[in-house]
Amino acid sequence: MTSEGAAEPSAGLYVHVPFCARRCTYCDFDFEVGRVPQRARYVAGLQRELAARRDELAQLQPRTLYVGGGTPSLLGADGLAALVAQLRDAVALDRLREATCELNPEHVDAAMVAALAACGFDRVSLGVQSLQPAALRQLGRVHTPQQALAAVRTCLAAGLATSVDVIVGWPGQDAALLDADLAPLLDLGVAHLSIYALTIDEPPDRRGAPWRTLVRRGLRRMPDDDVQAELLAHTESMLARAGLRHYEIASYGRAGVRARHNCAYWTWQDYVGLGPSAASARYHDDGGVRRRDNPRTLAAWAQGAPPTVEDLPPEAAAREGLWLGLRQLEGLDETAFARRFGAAARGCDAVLAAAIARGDLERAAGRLRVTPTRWLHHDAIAARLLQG
Amino acid sequence: MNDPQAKPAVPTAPPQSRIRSFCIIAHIDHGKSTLADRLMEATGLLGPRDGRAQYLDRMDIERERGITIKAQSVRMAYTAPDGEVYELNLIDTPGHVDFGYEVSRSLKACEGALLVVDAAQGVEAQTLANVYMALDENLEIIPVINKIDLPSADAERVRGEIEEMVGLDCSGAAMVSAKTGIGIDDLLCSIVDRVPPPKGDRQARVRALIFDSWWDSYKGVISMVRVFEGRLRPGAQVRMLSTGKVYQVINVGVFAPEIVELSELAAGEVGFLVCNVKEVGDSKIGDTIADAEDEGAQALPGFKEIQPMVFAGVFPTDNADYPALRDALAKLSLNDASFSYEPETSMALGFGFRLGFLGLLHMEIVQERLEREYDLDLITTAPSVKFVVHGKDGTTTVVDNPAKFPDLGDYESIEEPVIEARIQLPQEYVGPILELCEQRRGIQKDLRYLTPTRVQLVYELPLAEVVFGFYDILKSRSRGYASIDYEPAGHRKSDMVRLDLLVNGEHVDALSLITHRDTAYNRGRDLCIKMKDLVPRQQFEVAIQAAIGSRVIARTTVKAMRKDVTAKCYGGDISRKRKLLEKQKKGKRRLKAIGAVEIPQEAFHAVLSLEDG
Repeated sequence: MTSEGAAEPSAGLYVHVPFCARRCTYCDFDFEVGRVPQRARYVAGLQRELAARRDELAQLQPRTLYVGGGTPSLLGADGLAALVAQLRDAVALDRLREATCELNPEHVDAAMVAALAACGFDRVSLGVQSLQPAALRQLGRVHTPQQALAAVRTCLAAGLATSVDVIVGWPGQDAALLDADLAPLLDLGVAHLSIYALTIDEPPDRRGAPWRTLVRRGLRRMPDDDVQAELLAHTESMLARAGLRHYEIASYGRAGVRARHNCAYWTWQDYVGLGPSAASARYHDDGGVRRRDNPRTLAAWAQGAPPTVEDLPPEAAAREGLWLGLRQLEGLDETAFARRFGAAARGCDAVLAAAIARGDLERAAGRLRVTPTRWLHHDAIAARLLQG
Repeated sequence: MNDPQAKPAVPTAPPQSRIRSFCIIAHIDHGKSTLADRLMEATGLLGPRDGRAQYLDRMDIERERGITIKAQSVRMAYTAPDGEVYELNLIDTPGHVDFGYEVSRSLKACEGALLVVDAAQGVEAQTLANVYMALDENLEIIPVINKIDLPSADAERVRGEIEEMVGLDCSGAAMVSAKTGIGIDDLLCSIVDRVPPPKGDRQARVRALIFDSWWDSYKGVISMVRVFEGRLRPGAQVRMLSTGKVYQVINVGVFAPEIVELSELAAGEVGFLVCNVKEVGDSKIGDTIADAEDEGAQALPGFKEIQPMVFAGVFPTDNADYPALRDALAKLSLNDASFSYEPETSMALGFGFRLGFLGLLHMEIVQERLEREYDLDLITTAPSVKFVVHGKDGTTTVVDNPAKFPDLGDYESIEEPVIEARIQLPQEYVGPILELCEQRRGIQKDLRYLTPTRVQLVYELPLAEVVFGFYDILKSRSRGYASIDYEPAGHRKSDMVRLDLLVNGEHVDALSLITHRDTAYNRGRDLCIKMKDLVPRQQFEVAIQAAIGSRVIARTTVKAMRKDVTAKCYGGDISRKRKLLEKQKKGKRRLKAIGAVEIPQEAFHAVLSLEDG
């Protein structure tokens, strides 16, 4: 964890770029398979949101910036530079300590990374997902393994902090194939990995990922939980041997290497999200939190449809805070938790004591963490904390 | 409109020569309710296709399941070809084996019965049982062959079957299609011609038979009665002979099909009675109503107190709902006097009640009504029966709860209730059904061919075996063609043992069951296998064990859930994922935490779905 995360508030700024060249089979994210006219609409919509939230943004002084999607790199080097310029007019970006841009491997070349560095990005997150052609096909990814490895080399050579996304547990994967995905990345010197078990969500109010349709037609299998559990455990030990620390459920980094922006979510920091479907959170002095979700579609957002706002009172915010904080495998900082949620933090004592008695949680050096053998049951533990 | 003087003219009782009272005997799905609808249309009681189909089946559950639970009876005015207007009383009867006693009381109110048989299906066991009852009551039986419009109809075969199986002359059988209305007018003529008019001295002191009672939120307890002697009039003082309690008649009348109040019900008539009775249990089916001042009034024959046959524990999923369950049972018992309940405490399930039912369908209905009408989430245990336990010290106790059944060796002997079951089936299924009856410890009493293709088996079967899913297996092994009817046949000595289930090493009293020693091993093993699929995977491995006393006879393992974790969680995911986690916990209704393990309702009924005996 960023040690200063607890000491000094470090607000984050997220910008959602809602375009993809095509939909990945496992994805139920909000995006547009965008063409040029839509991009003009996006730029105009962003301008509108920046103006509408002028006061909030003026106070923000973000310490981290994350441009995600969708596929931000689809905007091209010029498009990204224009986006940052647009932001810079409305938000003070001079205190940034980390600025990340998500990239698809097929968009990475020397010109692209040079442009990114020129407009202030010092970190990239590469959507590699796998180095196996069969897996990339299943997942519906456009790039080849060779493109992926080339992209990693290019980013590292340009001096960008480089994180790579890898999906684990696709049907047919075994430990050997998993090693074949991870080892080449480690060999190239990748110092940060985001590891996700392949998950096919079924959102109640949306159509969901194409994967489900393919399963219904008998063309795909659902990922197997037991196999995924084994592969996730395998990942943890394999990366530990390579010197990467498992610091959050989906995040691994070498000593001192963290995704600062993402850490803000798990350490109860304020953040502002811009763009369709982007979320914002603002904590109040009493520990309550206001969560704000922008309209999901580009059309609704661009027209200025109002966000969904949810105010969690301190007690509910503290329970949510436990769930989020405990995603950090090193544990949540109990002093920071008490400072953030005040009296509501003390109101969690009983459920925490019960969770510790059950063996779900343990205390170590001022931190409260999920018992190391139980991180694969984080949801069950969290559900009980939210319920208790 | 509120002027009481403006009520429609009150009809006086017609002479007995112009009254015909009859019921309809039919197997489920053979078209009883549809036929009743057509008769009501033909006599102008309902407009064509008036409102809901199956007017008589008023309860939602009845309509959904296509069966009649509580009898409803209507009066129709029919102008016969002779120009006279006849009062036709159609007395509805419940159509399920659980409600044989109610059927027998309803038959008492009739002089005739329509035996409705599906022209494609033929005669079923349940139908036959009711026909025998009707014959015992000396009713005039008119065979009605229904669904003659179906392409698969074989009226000649069915006619022959009725003649062979029931011994009824079918030359005058009515050929109808209740669906299309074919033959309905002829049927009405037959009813007037063939059903005898009622008898009974209208000048004598009143005596009437209660053949149904229910709770109505406007009128209180409503009873359906058949007047045998004298006249029932509002204001009169009457006495219920079984309890000796005296009530004042508030009003009388008929359903046509809505309530019509009358000035009297005279001997030979059928209608409703409202007194100041507070609970349905005080207006017992089969009881006799007499003039309060008639000290020497004789009860009409055949009354008996209803005895529950099947018992199950009912517990709220959330212990805090116990008071709500208690209130719901109190209210429901106002409406249904045929189930019993008393408090029960389970170590596993907490505070609840042990309910007694007439049979398995009755059990399902009561549970469904509790959940639906009172919005409760319930866990019911597997059904059990009453065992007689002869202790070593010479004492005799009755145990209806497996959890209370004594430990192995702590008793001298056990007696279990048995039934005599009549099972009818096409002959090609005889093999598998004989096997089932043998597996279920049946003793064959009779096997005969009713027709060249239909067989009737008579078996003495332990009731405990019948409540463990016998009916479902019977249906599946005969592809739905076997039907069963049964009646209690006393007790017999049996070597019964208590089979306990241990979940994660903890004995779950609510999962205990009583079984014969010879089948205990198989049942324990099958139950462990079944439970393995029903108990959701937990964070840890869960052992399921079956034990007799301290001896574990079978074991399975529910493998630990390996993974339950949200892959990624960033700013945009937080609200949605938190709601999913919260929903996940709401989805856990109907799960009961036993120690650290959550057990779903289905697990308590696992024993009912074991395929093998």
